[in-house]
Amino acid sequence: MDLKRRSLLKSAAMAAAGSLALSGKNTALPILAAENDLPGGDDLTWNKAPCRFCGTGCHVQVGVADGRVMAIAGDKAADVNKGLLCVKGYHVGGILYGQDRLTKPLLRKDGKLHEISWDQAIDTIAQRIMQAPERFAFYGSGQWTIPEGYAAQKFMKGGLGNNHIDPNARLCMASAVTGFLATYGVDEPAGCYADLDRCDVLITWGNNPAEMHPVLFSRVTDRRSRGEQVKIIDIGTRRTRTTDAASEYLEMKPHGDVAISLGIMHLLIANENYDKNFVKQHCNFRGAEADTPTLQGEAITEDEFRTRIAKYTPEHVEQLSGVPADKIRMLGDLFANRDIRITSLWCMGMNQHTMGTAINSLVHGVHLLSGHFGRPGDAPTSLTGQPSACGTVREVGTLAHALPGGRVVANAEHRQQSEAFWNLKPDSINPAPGYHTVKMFEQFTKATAAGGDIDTIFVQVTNPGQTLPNLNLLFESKKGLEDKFLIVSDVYPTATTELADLILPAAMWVEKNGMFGNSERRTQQWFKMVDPPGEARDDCWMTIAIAHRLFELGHAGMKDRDGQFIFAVKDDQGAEIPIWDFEHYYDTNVDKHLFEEYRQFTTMKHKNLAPYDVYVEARGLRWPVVEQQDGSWRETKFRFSGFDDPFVTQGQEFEFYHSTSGDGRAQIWFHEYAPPPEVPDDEFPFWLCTGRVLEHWHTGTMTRRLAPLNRAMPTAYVEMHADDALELNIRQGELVTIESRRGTAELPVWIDGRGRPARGSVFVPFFDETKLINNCTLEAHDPFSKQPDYKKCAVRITKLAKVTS
Amino acid sequence: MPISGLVVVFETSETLDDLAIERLASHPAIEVGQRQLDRVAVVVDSVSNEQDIEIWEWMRRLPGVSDIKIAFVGFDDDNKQGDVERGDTNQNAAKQDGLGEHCGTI
Repeated sequence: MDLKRRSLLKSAAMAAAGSLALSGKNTALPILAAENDLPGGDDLTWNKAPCRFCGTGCHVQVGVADGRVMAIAGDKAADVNKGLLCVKGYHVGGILYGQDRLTKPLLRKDGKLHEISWDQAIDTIAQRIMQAPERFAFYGSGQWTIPEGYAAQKFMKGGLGNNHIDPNARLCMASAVTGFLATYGVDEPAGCYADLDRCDVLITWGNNPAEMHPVLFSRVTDRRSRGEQVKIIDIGTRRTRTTDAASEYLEMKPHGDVAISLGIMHLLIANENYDKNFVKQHCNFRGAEADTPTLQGEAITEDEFRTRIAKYTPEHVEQLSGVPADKIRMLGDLFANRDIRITSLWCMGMNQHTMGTAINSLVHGVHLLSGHFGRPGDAPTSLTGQPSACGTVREVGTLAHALPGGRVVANAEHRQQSEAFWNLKPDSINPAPGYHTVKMFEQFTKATAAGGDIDTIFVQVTNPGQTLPNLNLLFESKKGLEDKFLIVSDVYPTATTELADLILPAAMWVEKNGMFGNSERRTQQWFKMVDPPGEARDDCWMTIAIAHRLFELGHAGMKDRDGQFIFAVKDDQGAEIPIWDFEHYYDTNVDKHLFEEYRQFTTMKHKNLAPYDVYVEARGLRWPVVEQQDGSWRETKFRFSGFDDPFVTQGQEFEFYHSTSGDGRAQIWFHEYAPPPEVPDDEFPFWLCTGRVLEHWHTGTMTRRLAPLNRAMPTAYVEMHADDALELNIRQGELVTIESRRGTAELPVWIDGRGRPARGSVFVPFFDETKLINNCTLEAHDPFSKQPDYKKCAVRITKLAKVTS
Repeated sequence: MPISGLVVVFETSETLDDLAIERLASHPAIEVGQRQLDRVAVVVDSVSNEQDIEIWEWMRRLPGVSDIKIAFVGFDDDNKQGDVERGDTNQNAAKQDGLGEHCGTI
């Protein structure tokens, strides 16, 4: 690096640090002027982008020189992070520059990978789809940008009439979706991150934001550091860094969260200190149907609710959850107190759960029954693990049953609306939901003769070879099935490319235009800043190029009702721009064209979005975004609350305007506690819980290529309780085999390390491709969300070797 | 060689005294910037990733330091900060038939 640039970077570093320091002690986080005071110059330019990693949606400033990302700074103008970044975020620029970037399309022949041209690659895919379009599946991601997901959605459901498209978000937040739908009739949190600035009590339900969403968690810990009283109650199955900051730690048994939420509601009812006015005006009671439970359930009376919940006394809840009865009473008293504000946070703990829909609905119910809803600081809020799980999966609807804007394929009116927006012939969209993730891979890895009716899967922006549960069943058994064809678009070699028949090199993050939607309904936009390496190309382009090859081959679905290509983009003179040819892909802003088309879908469920150009100027906006009389666009922080939500009827304090009961009310659900599907026994005596660590993001394909992060956390491990280790004669660092009924993994032991599991349970992070803990996990899933439970199954531990260095 | 813009936060404004500033400034890789109550801006200009981590740990251990916030990081194209350590973490590329030879061509 030359001295001039080094000096410039040092100036920029001091400017960023100085302004962060000067924010001083009187604010929780630095609240700085929006002006960019980062020094630039002829050889260093700055532009905004959301971070590539988690669902928090922090904004970064990206410094580019000579076509390369040279620096990252927290974006002071961003409301989400106000200039702060976590340890992953400030290294995000380095993810582009791993030595082993994939740069050429590769086709496997006779067990070896051979370089082929993009034209051959696109042709190979199109020919396979053309042979059997109904046997093709598209597996995507909450890391898809909004335009990428929208293009994939339109290609599959509109073009091919095939609903076998599902995202990896099925594995991480599908139960949050079904919980919101069951309760409010519409998905996504009503509150926003500002709740963290106003709450008096923060309850983390099986959630570790200190490591997984550290910038968000710092909003609360910073308030404390300046003397505010904020009580943090951590409910979990292991002690974490969140526990370290907590006022109370309530250690529960797996599935204990269901009992705890029922126990709180029992106390509110039994003590007659629930918010009777709020419930009377804004809520109904709901229970599951006896014969065939549905997401809508059936109406029950308040008396019936009282009868059903009566048995969940603090003592009974203590038996089920392991949390002492007096602590259940403490929670009940907190929720009964209307003078304080309570925010609940959750993420994978409540979502990766065979009762995921139930526990999500129950925690919403606790807040509704107690009236801790809709005022700043009073909010039940789920977080997402991926940067666009909300924007791309939940809003664009890249799930097997969904259509954009909250529509579903099973609804004839929704299909007709979508066909109209896409200018397709009637009945182009198949009314039958496609395969959800687990089913999709079951059908792919099952022999065709045995009924495996998916023979080609195109995977974009995700790594199912590491993240699917029960990998031996759902992924490894693809081996030897000669007629099955796996296509993987990615940026680095992964556990998934290991079995890929065709590998496509992808552009990533600021190597392409993009839009994300974060956990608080905030839609974010960025522009391409650097070129991708070699022949790596945009995922969105791949989808459009395949669609156009099918158009050339005569696939009827790739033509709209006027005979035009379904992704046709025209210039100002009306001439079609050949965006399927990568040389011309950036002749126009394809993202903008796709987003403006997608915007039409968003008003039905009041998830209104602003025009693309408005997002260019903003650090994201929270929907619904509504145009004002002066032509400006106003975002919404608190949905369903009359003081902020423009769609609440004037004069109403709250209105749940997508209520499943059609009366503007939310549903307070009762669900009976049920034990987990697999529990420890004599043969497999330990609980296994899996999850993430601060330093690595998901499967580590990006963060493992960042030397500082990888050195800080170089290997996966198994956390054990010291007494369990002593009983098994296992010492710190020794290798053990973890074995479940489905598979094994070998890991070093970390006794009383960063996380401290309860006796009889172990924890293993899943970031390490060399130690695949998902060989052991269980594919059992929630009946509504179809989301598997990665947080609890039964394993045994066997000592393998002596201490390793 | 990494360049980081950091904010070192002390437990109280009293613990951020001249001695604390002196300690920070005594490190040749640290440049001390503006100071505000309990926090001070620093730039760390280290010769290697290893030294960067050492300095971070050293600062964390200084008396009275409660937190270090990150404001900025500069990437270095000379020592390839973003590169995976082959054979250590990139075992997939190595073991996948024929794939390793197609990687790293940028």
